[in-house]
Amino acid sequence: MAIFPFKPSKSRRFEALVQPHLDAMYRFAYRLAGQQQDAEDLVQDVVVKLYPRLEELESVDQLRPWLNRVVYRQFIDQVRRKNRQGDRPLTELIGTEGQADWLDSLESDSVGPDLQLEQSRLGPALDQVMMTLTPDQRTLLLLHDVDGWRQEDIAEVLDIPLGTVKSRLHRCRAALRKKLQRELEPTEPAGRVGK
Amino acid sequence: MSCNEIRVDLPAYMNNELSAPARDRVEAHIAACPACSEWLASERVLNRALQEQFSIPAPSPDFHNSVLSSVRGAGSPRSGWSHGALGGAIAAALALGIGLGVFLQPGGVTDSAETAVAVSESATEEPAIGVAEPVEKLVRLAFHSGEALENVTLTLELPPNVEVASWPGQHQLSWQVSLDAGENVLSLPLKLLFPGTGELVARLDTGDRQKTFRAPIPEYPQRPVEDPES
Repeated sequence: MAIFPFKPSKSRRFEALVQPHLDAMYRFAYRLAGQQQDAEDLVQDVVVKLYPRLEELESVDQLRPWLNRVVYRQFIDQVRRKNRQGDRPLTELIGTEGQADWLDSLESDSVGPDLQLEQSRLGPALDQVMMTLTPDQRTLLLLHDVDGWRQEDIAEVLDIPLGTVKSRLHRCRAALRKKLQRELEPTEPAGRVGK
Repeated sequence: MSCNEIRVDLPAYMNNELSAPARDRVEAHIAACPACSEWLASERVLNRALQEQFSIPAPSPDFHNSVLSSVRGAGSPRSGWSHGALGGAIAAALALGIGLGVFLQPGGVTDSAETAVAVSESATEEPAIGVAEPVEKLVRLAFHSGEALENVTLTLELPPNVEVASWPGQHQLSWQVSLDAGENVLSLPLKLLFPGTGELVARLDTGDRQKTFRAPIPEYPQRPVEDPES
């Protein structure tokens, strides 16, 4: 029986809406920011920003992707404000290419070489190689391959076409494999030229 | 489909997000293509390595609280219902009416200009004569606020012979409310358990201002005297 006709306080309503998504927002923010404290600060900034928009939040059907879009936009704003070099947002880097266009232009070897991967050798090499990817490439790979985001979800949150996510993801993996192979190849001993 | 096209689909395949027909196409190709089968195996190894090395650390232990405290404002209001105790039932009868008026004026809670707006509704059940049976009564409490207020803690204290129908056995209830400017009405389905005296106490706490209001709970009506001739 509903006995209390008062509305719950604004902060209570806001908490009830947002709290179930805070951990997911943090994980996404971590992928963007790369540091725990930065990720927590990013989520906090978003929460403070959204509080006055409670009525709008209450009208959203699928709140989690909506919140993550706000996290992403907030991150982009921060990056722009800080004018950090090399941290271009995903959308700028990915562009508007479509999957079909990309598949048409795909070079035969662009899927990367076959790579004999042994998990035991991958560890240090993977760390090193991942750092050679751009931040947006790393984020895309980790969201999908580690965090299990569906490509559709990535497309929705980053506001880019699904085909773009798909092709971009494949390119990132191909780049990763190629760099890993180079990293794991045995190097020629110095001074040995010819036979 | 070509090997290239299949390999484009492999990340989604490994993430279990392909449609059934697309998944079938990939699996049929993999089964017939040793190169793509080997490719898939190495992709799985790569995925496991990524998952092992790039897991996300848990946030700070007080992450939720610190994030949400930024919108809670000053202080740390109580949450939810707090519980008192007591209980019991004896005797019978009915009828209850409560008037309680609270005025919150801009700039502070005042003791002046209090007004009662409230009164009971009809009983929802008749007590059986001679049997201690609770009587439910709907009571409305009217609170008038001179301004809209957020995060007001409203606490009700009830005497042992009265409880709120939805919360049996609890005689102190507390929750956070927003008050609109003007009249705010609280409908309380009270359950009168047995005759007794006491009062309903309502406390409003805005964080920096507190106000306590008291209203008597009417006597529990005595059961009709039985006619010895009947």
